[in-house]
Amino acid sequence: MKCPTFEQLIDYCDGQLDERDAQPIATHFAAGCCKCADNRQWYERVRRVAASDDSREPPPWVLKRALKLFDKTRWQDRPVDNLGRIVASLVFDSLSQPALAEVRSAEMSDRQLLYRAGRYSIDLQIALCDQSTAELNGQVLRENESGFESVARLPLKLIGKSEERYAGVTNEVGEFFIQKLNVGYYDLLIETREGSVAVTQLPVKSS
Amino acid sequence: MRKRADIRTTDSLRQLSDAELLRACLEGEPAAWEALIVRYQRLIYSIPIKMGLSSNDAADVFQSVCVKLLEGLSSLRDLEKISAWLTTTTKRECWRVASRRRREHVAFVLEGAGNPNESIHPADSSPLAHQQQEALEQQQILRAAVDTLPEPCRNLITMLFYDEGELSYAEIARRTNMPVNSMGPTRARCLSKLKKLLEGKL
Repeated sequence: MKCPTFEQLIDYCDGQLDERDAQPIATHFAAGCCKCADNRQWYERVRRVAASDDSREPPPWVLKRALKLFDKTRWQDRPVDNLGRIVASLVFDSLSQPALAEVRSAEMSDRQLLYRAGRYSIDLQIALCDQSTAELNGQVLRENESGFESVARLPLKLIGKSEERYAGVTNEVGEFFIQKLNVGYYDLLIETREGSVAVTQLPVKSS
Repeated sequence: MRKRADIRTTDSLRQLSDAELLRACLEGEPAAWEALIVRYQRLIYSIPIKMGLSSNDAADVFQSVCVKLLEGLSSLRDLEKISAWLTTTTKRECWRVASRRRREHVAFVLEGAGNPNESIHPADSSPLAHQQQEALEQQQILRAAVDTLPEPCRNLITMLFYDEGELSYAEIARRTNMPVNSMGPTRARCLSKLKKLLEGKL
C-alpha cells in the first residue's frame, strides 16, 4: 500500500477506522515506512502533551491586574532610535530663558540643560573655559527614588564626530564631570538598568 | 527615529514572535503587552501551583514576575523566546514567597500563637521536578503554536485536544458551523499547519 493520507493516518491513530480500512495501514506501518512512522509519532506526541496539560489560567482579576501594569504613557512618549536607545527630550534650556536685567554677561556663560527620558532626568551644566573648550557637568536622577541606587555607577560615553571622546561612570549620586571638551555637538549615552539613554546633539557651547 | 507602530488586531499580534512583541511593548503598545502576558499566563501561574503554593501566593508570584518582565523589557528585547527567562524568574519568585511564609510561620510560633508541632502552613513549597518543568514547557510550546493558528483551526484543535470530555465530530461540526463530512479534511489541514509551526520545537 502506498502511504495513507494524513487524514487517514490521523483516523487510524484515533481508532476511527473500521477493521477493513485499518488493516492496510497497519500493514504499511509494519513494512517500516519512516515518513508515516514519523507522522504517527508526531501526532501521538502532540496528543500526549495535550492530554497531560493540567496547566491553569490565573483568575481573571490576576490577569487584569498584570495588564494594568503597562502604563503606556511611560513608553509611548519615549521615542526609541534605530539602535533601541531611548532618546531623551530637552525640557529646559537656560539659553531660551529671557535674560535677567542687570545680570553681567559673564554670569550667563554657564548653560543649564535639563533632559528627560522616561523615568530619568539628566541635569547638565556647560561651562565655557575659553573660546574653544568647555566643561560638562551632569547628574542623572530617577523619579520616585529618594536614594541614588539606580543612578550610581552608570556607564556613560560622550561621542563627538563619530568618535568616543570620553568614557566613564557616574559617581555614587549619579554625577559626572567631563573637562577640557572641545566646543561642538556631542551624543551623550548613558547605560541605565532600564536601557540605553541617548542625549543627542548635545550643544557643548554657550550659544 | 522609529514611528510608533499602528494599532494591530489581536489576531495579528498572536503571529508575532516574543522578540517582536517585546519591541512593540517598548514602542508603547498596550495590546502587545496583553498578547505577551496572555501567551504565558498559564506557564507563570502553573509553576507556583505545582510548587505547592496557595492560589493567593500564586497570584502574588504572577504579579511579581510581570513587574520584573515589564522592568526588564529593554534588556530582554533581543531574546527570541522568553519562556526560559520566565520559568527561571517564576521559580525564583516562588522560593522567595515560600521563604517569606516560612519566616512568618516561625515568627508566629515564637510569639506563642502557633503550634510548633504543626507542619508549616501554608503548604511548604517543593522544588519543581525537572520532568514537571519539561512537561510545562512542552505544554506551553504546544498551546502557543495552537494559538497562532488561524481562528477556525484554533477553535477546532482546541476542541479536539483540550475540551474536557470527548466531543463527537457531529458536536464539533455543530459548534463550528462546519458540515460534518468536511471535518476530516479540515482537521487534517489544521494539523498539517500545526505540524509546520511545531517543526523542531516539539
